Amino acid sequence: MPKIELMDVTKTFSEGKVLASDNITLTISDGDFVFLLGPSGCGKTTLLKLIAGLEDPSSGKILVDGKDLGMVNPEDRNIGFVFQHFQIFPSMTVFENVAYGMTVRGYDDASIERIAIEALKLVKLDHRVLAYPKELSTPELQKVGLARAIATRSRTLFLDEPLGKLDPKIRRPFRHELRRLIKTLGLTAIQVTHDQEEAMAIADKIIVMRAGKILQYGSPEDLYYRPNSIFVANFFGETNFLEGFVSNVTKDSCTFHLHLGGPKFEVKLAPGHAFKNGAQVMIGYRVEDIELIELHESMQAESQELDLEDKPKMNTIKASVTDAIFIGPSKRFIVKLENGDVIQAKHSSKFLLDIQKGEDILVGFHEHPMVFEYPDDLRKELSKA
Amino acid sequence: MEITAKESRPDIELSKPDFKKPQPGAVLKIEKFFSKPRYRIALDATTIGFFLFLIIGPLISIIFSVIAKWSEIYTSVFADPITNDVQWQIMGTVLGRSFQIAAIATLIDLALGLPMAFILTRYEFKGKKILDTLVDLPMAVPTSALGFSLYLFWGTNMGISGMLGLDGGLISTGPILIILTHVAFTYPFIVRNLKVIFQETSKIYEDAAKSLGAPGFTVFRTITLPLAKEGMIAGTILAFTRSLGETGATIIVAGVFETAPMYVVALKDSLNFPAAAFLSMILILISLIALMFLRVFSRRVGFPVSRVFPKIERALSTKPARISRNALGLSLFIVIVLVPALYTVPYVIQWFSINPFTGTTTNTVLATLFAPDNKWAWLWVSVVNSLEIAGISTLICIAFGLPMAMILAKRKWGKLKELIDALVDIPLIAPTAALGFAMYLFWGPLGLNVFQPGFWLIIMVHVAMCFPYIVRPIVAIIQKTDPELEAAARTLGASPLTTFRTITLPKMLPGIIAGMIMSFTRSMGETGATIVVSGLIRTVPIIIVDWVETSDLAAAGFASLLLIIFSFIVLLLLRKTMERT
Repeated sequence: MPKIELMDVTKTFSEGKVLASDNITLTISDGDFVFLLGPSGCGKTTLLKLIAGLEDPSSGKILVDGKDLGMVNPEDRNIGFVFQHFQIFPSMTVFENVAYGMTVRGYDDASIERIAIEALKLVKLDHRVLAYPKELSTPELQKVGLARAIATRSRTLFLDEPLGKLDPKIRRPFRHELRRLIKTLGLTAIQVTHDQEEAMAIADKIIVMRAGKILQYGSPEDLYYRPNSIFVANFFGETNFLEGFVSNVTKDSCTFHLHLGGPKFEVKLAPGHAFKNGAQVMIGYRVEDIELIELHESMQAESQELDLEDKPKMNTIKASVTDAIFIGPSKRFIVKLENGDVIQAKHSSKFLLDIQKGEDILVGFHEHPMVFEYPDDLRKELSKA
Repeated sequence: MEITAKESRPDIELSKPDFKKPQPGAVLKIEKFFSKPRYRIALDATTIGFFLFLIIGPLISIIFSVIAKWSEIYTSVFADPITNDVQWQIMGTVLGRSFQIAAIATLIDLALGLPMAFILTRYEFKGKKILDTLVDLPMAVPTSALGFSLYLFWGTNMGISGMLGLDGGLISTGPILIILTHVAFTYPFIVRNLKVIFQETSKIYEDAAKSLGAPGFTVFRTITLPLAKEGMIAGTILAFTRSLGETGATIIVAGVFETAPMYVVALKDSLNFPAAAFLSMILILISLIALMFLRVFSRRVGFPVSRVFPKIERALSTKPARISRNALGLSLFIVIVLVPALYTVPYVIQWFSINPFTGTTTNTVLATLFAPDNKWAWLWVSVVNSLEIAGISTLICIAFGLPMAMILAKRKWGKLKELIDALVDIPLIAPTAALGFAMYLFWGPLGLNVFQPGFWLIIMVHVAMCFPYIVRPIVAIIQKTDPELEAAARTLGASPLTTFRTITLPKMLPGIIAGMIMSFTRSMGETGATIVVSGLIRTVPIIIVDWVETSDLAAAGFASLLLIIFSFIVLLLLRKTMERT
C-alpha cells in the first residue's frame, strides 16, 4: 500500500527563473485523501505532477513505498491521474478510453472488458459504453476520466482540479461520490483544488501552499481552528483581524490592547507560545464567532448575572452598527468598535433580526482568538494570492 | 446520492487480479523498446541532418561557391576582357526591375485585397463560400498555367482584345503584363493572410469604437488595421518575395523583357555558371533578409492612427460609398484576377475542334495535339513524369517532415529551435530559379556530382520546395493539441511511441493529409526551379513553357487546362479535409 515521501524536492522553470516547488519535504500516509490547496500559481499542480512523474524534479527525491521513482517514466509508475480538462481521447469510445490503460499493457480481451465495465459501473456510466466523447456531457466526461484512471487498478490516484469544470450545483454531490469511491477502493489520493469549501468537506488532510512552499499540512479542523499564519487564517473562511499589543503575558494567557488606546481584554494563548510583554500582535476572530449583544439585553444580564457561567467568558466592547445587510440565510453586520476599528459579523438571519443600522450595541469577543505575531509585510499576508 | 458521512466501509472492490498476466504483443514491445530517449535523439539528429544537408546545404553552398570562385566570378561579372562590367550592369538592371515589379504588384494587391478580405470576414451573404474558394483558386493554379492563361487573356487576339474587336493583344508581353500576372499570382496570399487576421480580431473592438461614435471607415483605419498590422506585414512581405522570385509564369508573359530570376535561367542556359551563381546568391540573400525582417521587425512597426479626418472619413463611411467600394473590390477581383487566371477554360472549349476565326481546323486543340510531331504522346509522358515526381517528393517530404514537425512543435531547444523554425520557411520565399540553380550546383557535375539534371534532381528540388508545405500544417495542428492529452496516455501506461501511434497520430491526420495535398499540388505546378534542373525530362508545367515558346498555344492551353482541373479538384479536397478538423 502506497506511502508517498518527498525529500527536499525543488522544481524550477524557465532556466531557474520561476521557482514552482521550493525545497519541499512531505510524507503522505497510505490511504489518505490529501488536498493540495492554494492561490493560483502557487505551485500546487506542479507538485502534483512531480509526485505523479509527469514532471521531473530539478533536485530532491520522491519515494513511493521507499522506492526512489526519480528516473521512472510515467508509464511505468502505475498511477491513476484525473486531468482538469479530462483529456478523454476524442477518437475513442467510452469503453476504449477506459480500456486504454489495460490495452497498452497487453492484457487479454476478457479481463479488459470485465475491468472496464466494472470501472464504468462504479462511476454509474455503464449505459454509455459505446458513446463517443463528443456525445457526452461535462459530468459524464469527468466520470470517464475517473473510470479510466481507476481501471488501471493503481493504488494511487492523482486528481488535478477534477471538479473545476463542473457546474457548482453538480459539484457538491459529485465530490462526496468521489470521496466514497476513493475510500471504498482504499486508494491513496491527492487532489488539487482552489475551492476551500470542497477541501474542507471531503479531505482527510489539507496541504496549503503559497509561492512554491508548504505553509501548513493538517486536518481540516487544524487548518480552520489552529492556522499557523495569518495567510492560512485568511484563506479559509472569513476572519476579522485586530491589531494591538500584549501585556501581562503568562504561559497560557495575556492582556490584549487594541491599538489607538482602545479597550483591552484577556485572551488565552496556546501553550509554548513565544510572545513577550509589549509584543505587537494581530488577533483574529471568524465572522461567525463575533457575538452581538443588544444594550438592553446586556444590562439585564449585568443586573441578573445569569447564564454567563455556563457560557465561555466573553469580553465585551462598545460599538455601533454601521450597516446590517440581509443575504438570505444569514445577516451580515458591519460594526464600528469604540476605538474606530471596523469588523464584520455574520449570523443566521433568524436571530438578531431587530439589530438595526445605527444602533449602539456591545460586541462580544470570546477568549480563544487566533493570535499571530505582527507580520513584516501585512499587506502580503492578507492578500489571497 | 449525496453521502455526507466521511467514513464508509469498503463495500466495493475492483476484481482481484485473478486474470492472466498481461502479455504485450510484438507492436507494443517494439514501441516500448524504441521509446528509449537515445532513439528519439537519433531520430531528431537524423531529421536535422537531412534538413541541413538536403535543403539548407545547397542554399548555403552557393555562398561558399561564390567565395571560392570569386576571381572567376569577378572576371565574368565585373571585369570581362571584352564587355568589362556589362554583366554587372545588366544584373543591376534586372534586379531593379524585379524590385519595381514586386513593389507595384504588392501595392495593387493590398489595394485589391483589403476590401476583399474585409468582405469575406465581416459580411454574411449567399455564395460567400464559393467566393472564398474562387479567391484561393489562383494559388492552386500552377504558375506556368496561370502565366499562360493571363498571356492568352491580355496578350493575344484570342482574349479580351478579341472581345473588344481589336486585332492584336491589348497588352503586349512585357512589364505591364508581368505586373498583372504577379498581382493575380500573389493576390490569394495577401487575402488569405488578411482574412486570418481579420477573423482573429474580435468584432467587439469595432463595435466598441462604433458605440463611441466613430464612422465605419475610421473604425477600420484606427481599430481594425492596427490590430491586423502583423498579419498585414507578413502577407505583404510574403507576396513581395514571391513576386520577386517568380519565374515560371513570368517567363511566359515577359517576352524579351527580363527579370532577375529569368536572367538566372538565361545565364545558366548560356553556361555562364559563375554569373548565375552570383545572381542566385544575391536573390537568396535578399529573401533571407526579408525573412529575418519578417521575424524580427514586423511587431515593431506602428501605424499612424492619432489623427482623424472626420469629414472625409464620414463621407467614405456612407452606405453608397461602402457599397461602391465593395462592388469595386469585387469587380476588380473578377476582371484582374479571376477571369484572366481561368481564361484557359473558355479558350480551350472555343478552340477545341474548330478555329473560331476561320472555321477550319488550323491551330485548334485537336489539330495541334495530333500534329505529326506527336504532342499528344509528349503530353502523357509529361503527365506521368509530373505525377511520379510529385508522388515521390511528397513521400520523401512526409518521411522527414513528420519528425521535423514534432521537433518544431515539442522540443524545448530555445534559440536553436527558433533558428531551425526560421530556416524551414526559406524554400517558401527563396526565388525558385535561384533555388533550382543552387540545387544544380550542389548535386550536379560541378558539385557533388550525384545527380545529373533530370528526374532525380527535379525530385531533390521539389523535396526542398515542398518541405515547408508539409511541415507547417502538422506543426499547427500539434500546437493546437493539449500536451496533457499525451500525458494522459502516458499515465495510463502507454510508452511514448505507443502514445504517438494511438493518440498523437490520429489527432494529426488532417494536418498530414492537408500537408501532403499541398505538397503534391506544389510539386505538380512547380515551374521556375524545375526549368533549371529538368535536363531532358519534361513535366507538365515545363511542356507548357515549351509550347508557348513555339507558339503552339492550343496545345499549351489544353495542358494548362489539365493542371487547372487537377488543382481545382485538389483544392476542393483540401477544403473538405480542413473542414473536418
